[in-house]
Amino acid sequence: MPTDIEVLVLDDEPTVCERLKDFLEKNGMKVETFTESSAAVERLAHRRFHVVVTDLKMKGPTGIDVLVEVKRQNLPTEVIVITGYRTMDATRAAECVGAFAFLDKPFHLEQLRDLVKKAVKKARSRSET
Amino acid sequence: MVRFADLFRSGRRNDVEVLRARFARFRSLLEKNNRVLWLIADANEKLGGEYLFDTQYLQFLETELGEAVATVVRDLAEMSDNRYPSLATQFERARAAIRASLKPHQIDRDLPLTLTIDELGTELADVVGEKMARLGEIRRRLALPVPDGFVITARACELVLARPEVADEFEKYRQGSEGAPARLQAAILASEPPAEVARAIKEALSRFSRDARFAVRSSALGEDADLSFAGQHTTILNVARKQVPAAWLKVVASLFSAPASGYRRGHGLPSAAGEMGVGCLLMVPARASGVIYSVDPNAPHSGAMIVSAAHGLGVLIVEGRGSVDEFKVSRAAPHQVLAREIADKQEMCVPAIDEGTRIAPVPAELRRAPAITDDTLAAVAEAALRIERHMRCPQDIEWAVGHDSSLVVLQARPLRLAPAAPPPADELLAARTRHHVLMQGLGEVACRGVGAGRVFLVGPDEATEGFQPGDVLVTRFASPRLATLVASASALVSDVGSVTGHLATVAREYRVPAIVGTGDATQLLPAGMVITVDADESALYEGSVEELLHYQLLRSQPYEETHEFRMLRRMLKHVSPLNQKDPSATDFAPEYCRTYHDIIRFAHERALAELGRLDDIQLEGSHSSARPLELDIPLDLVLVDLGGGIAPGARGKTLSPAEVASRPLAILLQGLLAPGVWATNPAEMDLEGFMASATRAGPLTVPGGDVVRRNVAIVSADYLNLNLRVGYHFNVVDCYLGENPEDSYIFFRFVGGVTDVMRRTRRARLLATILSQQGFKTDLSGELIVGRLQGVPPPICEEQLRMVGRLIGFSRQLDILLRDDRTVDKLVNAFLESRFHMTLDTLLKERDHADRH
Repeated sequence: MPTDIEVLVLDDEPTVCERLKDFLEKNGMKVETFTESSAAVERLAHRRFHVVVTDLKMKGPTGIDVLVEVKRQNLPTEVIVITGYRTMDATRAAECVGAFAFLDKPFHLEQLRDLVKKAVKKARSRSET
Repeated sequence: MVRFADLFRSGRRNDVEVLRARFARFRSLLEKNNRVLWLIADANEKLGGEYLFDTQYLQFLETELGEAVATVVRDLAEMSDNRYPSLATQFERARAAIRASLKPHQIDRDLPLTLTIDELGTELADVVGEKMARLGEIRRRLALPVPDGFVITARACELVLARPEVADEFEKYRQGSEGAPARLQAAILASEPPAEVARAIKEALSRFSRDARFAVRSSALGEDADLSFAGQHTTILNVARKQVPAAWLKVVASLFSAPASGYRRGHGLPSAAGEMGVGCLLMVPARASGVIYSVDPNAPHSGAMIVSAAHGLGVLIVEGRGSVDEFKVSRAAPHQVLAREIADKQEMCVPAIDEGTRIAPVPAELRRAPAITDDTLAAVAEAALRIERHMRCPQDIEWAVGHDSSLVVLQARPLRLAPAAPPPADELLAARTRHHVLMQGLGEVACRGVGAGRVFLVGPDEATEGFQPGDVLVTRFASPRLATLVASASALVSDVGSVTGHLATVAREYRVPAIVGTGDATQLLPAGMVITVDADESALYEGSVEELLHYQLLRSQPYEETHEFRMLRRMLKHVSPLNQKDPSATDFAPEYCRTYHDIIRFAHERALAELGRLDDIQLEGSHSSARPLELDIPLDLVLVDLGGGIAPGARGKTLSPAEVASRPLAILLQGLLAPGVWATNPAEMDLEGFMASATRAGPLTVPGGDVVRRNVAIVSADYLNLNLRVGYHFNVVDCYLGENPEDSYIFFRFVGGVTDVMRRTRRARLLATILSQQGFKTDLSGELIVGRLQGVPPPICEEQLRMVGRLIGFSRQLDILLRDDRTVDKLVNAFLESRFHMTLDTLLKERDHADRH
């Protein structure tokens, strides 16, 4: 399994971060977690991640803000936005600013893993060109 | 003699409308019933730990479930003229409980202040705390020795916090003000137990002897469930009876200790509102105590367990003080000791004379001796595995050994292991190929996972004597009556059944690996054989596939639960447990419906009865939808169509069999009209039989009806209610052929006949024998036979309906021939071998032969 995939997970609930980290690590990825979006944005400026997995609604900067920041800095990073149950409007907004995908809760963790893998492929192909 | 012409005179069209309405309700009820079962299945899957969801999902689930169950309740009320008014009350009660579970946790005001340990089980974790709930479960369900005692519930804790001198400090604590935890603790310790709590404790203590000593243990809500809280709360040992109330207050106060508060905040938990149960268990005068990990945390795949042990009470081990013996024991019986390190144990903890504990020197001759024997080690290991099997994840267990060497379990909680990568796929594949495959790819997986054990075959009439916890439950039908066993089975396999069935829902609730609808597992699996049920790959293996089991065990360890997760679990406690298991039990009644699952199960069951109940409907009317069916056999049958039961093109006054569009009727007719089934020369009555019949005043009285409605088939596209009076007996077949196995059923009722009661009884017995051999649940009382087939896939249901058609034709006048019991068996075999004519002839000849002699 690939061990060089680096993922940043951002969710204001520590238990969600913990679970996603556990799960993605079990799938052989390197994971850093953040519960505050400002800290995550700062980290992104200093280190390259293949994929960011972020919750949409958070205190302070939202998932969309993080996404915009990634695009503004032109980072070779794909963003997967986790959205609440039946909040389609926000997800459309996320698509518009170039999210790789959005994932509607409730979702199976394997769905997330597959999306992350696809996002990595895209991120890599982009950084090569 | 009644003629068809009568049918077309006077009548009330309304009756058919009433039937149509009833049938529409029935369909709606079925649909919502299935919707609820699907929602429960889906929600239980979310609890499996592989999903992420939010509170909006919970709100959605609450609304959807509530609306669907409300419809079911309303439909049944309409169908039954509101025969079960208390069902609506129970529904409102369950709904209120479900809604409350989505709000910040609140404790029921009617909750008793104390409960005995024998009343506890994991379902009460929300009010007595995980620790005590689990101990109760181990004592009650596993029958392992756990000290006697009781628990002071969280409701009592709440009452202390509501006392005027405490409430203010509690409020400040909740607001998170500086120094609040310490002040709140002091306030609790300075207060008195509320009078009603003191009374309840006194009452609970009254069944113990005056000099009894207790271990007073914290059992905070959420403690040990998902977060370990290990050592954050107080336990007080060796407490005298009259000191129990004070000890209780001390333990309650520890809920707000600085480390406990910090721990809670660190894990994002809301500050508790009286969220603590306190256990009071009889002290075990321990010769030795210790802890066992059912899996070695440092080498989870090594197949070893870790045991630590010391002389006296277990305090030193739990607190990590002092030197203790350490053992590595094999998980496999007979639990060989793989490694041992006997420490020089200089000190031990013992009960103090008056109260509490003290440290005493270990007698010189015991210092370097093992604290426990290898036999005790094996017993500890065995108990740990039983608890692990029941709890379905690795365990961390505190135990003690009394002076008579008897083992006692003091505490059990999930053992947390570091997240482990799954073993390489080829390793599991190799393990799978080493074992003989008994079955593969058959049936549907109702609950994923792997389980192994001895095959227990459920007997005829769902006999379950001899079932042992840990057995693999193998059954022809996934009957809800087996729900009690499923909780302690290692896996479930059924011949028929579907993933949204009641029993499948129960299996998911208890996380029991389950494969349903395999077709013929009961034929294939010999009772007593040890098998592995691999519900991940939908396969059954001979023997115990240890690698798979171990992988499953490590995979099922606890993980950090989100707030939503706990809410969903709390909510489902009012939704998915099934208490209404057995329709023939006295408590199969609306008053005993506690959960949504109970309500829909009860309603479904009663709706079937309501649908088949036609006594109050007078179908003597003439109307466009009642038309005679022309058959090649001498049977006058009138069809009443509720919709879709007659081919659209059929315009004649009479109908031909080809114009029957009702699937159940068409199928039944295939059986009834099959060659040889309808004996063309019905048995002539012998004199004896005739004399008996001559004394009868006529046909059996039909409640509310008369001879006019003799042979009527009420049909829709997928429904048949057939009322037959053939040869002086009264026969009802009620059948619905739905898409889901759980919806379809055949109901068969037969009573009466022309001969003496002995022969009629023999015929009833004949029918009962045939039907039960075909998998019907039968009920025979005298000359009345009721048979029911339910929960089978459509093809089987259809086949059985065809059989019922044959049976009606075959048996219509057999009572005349049934002169002795031996003939019953002959005819049963004749029918099952399709030797309809031959045997009739044979029997007639035999009869003549007997008469001549």
